[in-house]
Amino acid sequence: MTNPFEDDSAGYLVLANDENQHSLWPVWIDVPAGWTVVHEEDTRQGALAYIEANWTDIRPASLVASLGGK
Amino acid sequence: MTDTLDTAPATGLDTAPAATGRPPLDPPEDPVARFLRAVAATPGRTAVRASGSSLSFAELDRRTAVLAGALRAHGVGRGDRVGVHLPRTAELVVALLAVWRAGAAYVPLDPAYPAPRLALMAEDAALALLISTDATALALPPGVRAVRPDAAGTPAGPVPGTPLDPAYVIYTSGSTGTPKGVEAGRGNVAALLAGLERSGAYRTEPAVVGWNASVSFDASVQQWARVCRGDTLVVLDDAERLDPERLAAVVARHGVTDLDLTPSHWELLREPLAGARTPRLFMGGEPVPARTWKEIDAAGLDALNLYGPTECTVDATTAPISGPGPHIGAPLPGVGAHLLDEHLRPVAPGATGELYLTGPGVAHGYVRRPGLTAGRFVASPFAPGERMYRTGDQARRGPGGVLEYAGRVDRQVKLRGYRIELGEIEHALAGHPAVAESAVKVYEAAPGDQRLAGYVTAASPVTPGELLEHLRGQLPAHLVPATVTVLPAFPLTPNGKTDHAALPVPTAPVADAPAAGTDADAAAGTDGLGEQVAGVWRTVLGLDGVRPEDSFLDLGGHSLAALRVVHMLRRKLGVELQLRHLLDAEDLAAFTEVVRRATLAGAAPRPALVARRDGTR
Repeated sequence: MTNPFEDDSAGYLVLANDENQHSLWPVWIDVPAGWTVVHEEDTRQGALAYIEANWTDIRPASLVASLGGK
Repeated sequence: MTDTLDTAPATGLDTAPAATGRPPLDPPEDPVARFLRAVAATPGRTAVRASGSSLSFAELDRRTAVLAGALRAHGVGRGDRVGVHLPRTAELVVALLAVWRAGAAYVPLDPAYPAPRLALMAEDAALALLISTDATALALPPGVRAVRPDAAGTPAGPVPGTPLDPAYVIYTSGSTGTPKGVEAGRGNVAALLAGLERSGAYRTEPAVVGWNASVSFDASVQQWARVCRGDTLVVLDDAERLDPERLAAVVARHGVTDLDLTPSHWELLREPLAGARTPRLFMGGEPVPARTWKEIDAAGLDALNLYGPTECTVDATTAPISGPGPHIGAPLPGVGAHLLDEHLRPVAPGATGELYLTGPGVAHGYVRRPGLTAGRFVASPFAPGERMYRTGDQARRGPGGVLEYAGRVDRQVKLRGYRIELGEIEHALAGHPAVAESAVKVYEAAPGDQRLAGYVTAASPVTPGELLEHLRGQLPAHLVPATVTVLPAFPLTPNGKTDHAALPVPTAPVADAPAAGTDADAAAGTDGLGEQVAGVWRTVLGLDGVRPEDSFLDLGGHSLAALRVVHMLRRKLGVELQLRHLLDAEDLAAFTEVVRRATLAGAAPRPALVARRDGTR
């Protein structure tokens, strides 16, 4: 059984929720409620590169805001 | 069919195990707020006992207020991370709690770890400050200052925060060669305490908790943080943790009611500990073997099996160790345990799937590893906008809906409770300039004794000893293999990958055939003593032969193996031996000499706790 998040030959989306938490997402599975596509279909490596470049602080956005960006 | 519904009442461990989480809790109370309530309720009650000192709740309140004041004077506040580099004393508890009072998160830096490893963690976590009694032992990143745990400050009230405020960063083995820091929030910790209470794992009356787990491992959180709910902590120091007789004595002396430990550790402690006053056992860190489960069940001991990855804040499921097993039981209240297939659909009843966890324990993610975080903490189809953690563990539902662990999907292994990514050790081996290729696998050296074996092909001449030295300089002891074997080439699978199964099981140097010795002559005289001691080494290390010049550590001996040697010799010979006698001895000959001197000094009085064993086992 291949894990759907570990297939280097498959296509992936990047999702984000209200806390700006990002998720890798297999393109062949429905996007769950409460998540928005922030990066369209890409290779796994491409999707991960997008995440590394655009989600630089893994903490929830509401926490970052309440810390004044600290 | 949904996998999340459950109607079983949350009345405790006596109810039939639920298939998934019970209803979510009201927002649980912050641990620092709980601590202040405990101080107000029972100021005179003992909060912490450690070798040589104890603190009441009022004293712990004052000490943590003063240290928190000192931290704030150094600019520490919400969102900061503070390294805690202290031995296992009462001051360790003061430091951890003071960091929370100051609104910050702690990063445990175990003084036993190699300096380069600690430096890497200190840098990765971007520490704001360090609490240490020996800061010179650490290469701190530029600009990071250190304070002592008794630093003077203006006593400070707790800094108000939110449940999302980070509570700690704990590092775990990383498959790509560097450890990864899991950041959990204060709300995650609050939910852990509340979940264990609601599940019945923590009794309502005040407990006396033996804190055994290393502060570097998240199992420690569900032990030390119990002081926040008014329980008494007994901090076990390293000598007590590793010496069964001493541990049993501490448990009896302080009336310890709750003790956390790994199943491997239990194997060594069961004889001295088993008896009328055996505390409730919180077992975790690795699967409970079927034999251990049956034994605990048959003895009627009060024991729990706790399962959970660090990424979901310590414990996700609990099971009473009784009846048919082993299993990992039912999720804590609010936790969802989903067994999914490769399309993220729930598997058929009874089928094996990968375990995904949801709920209040899901941590923030891996510090400074966005890609890794986004691939493991993924969007949950089960609750809008929430995340679920992909554990890499496989499980199935057994009779009554209990979860049964069914192995890993990757190369992570558990050894003596330690979570180990074989890839991390391979990466460290490959970092030696003489190494061309590297591989690491687990093998069974003797029944029940699993070891790590390293393998390399060499780019230039190198000895196993040099490679082990290289590893000891960078990795904590639990990641250093027992042996490294230099091979001319690696065996390959048909598709050209390293065939780990075909790597040869390491063979130790074999000495001349040992002379026969008997138990009887050893106790009486010294002629058979050398063979007695050598025989115990062979048994424990699973070797055919050992030589006088062999060093215990070089033969692959680890601390639990050393404990078995000392334990067996004490029982065989009735001598008073300490763990350090073995660990300090250069080789077998030197250790034998120590044993000989101990024998001549006369038999030690048998510890009182040994007698208790006879009536119960």
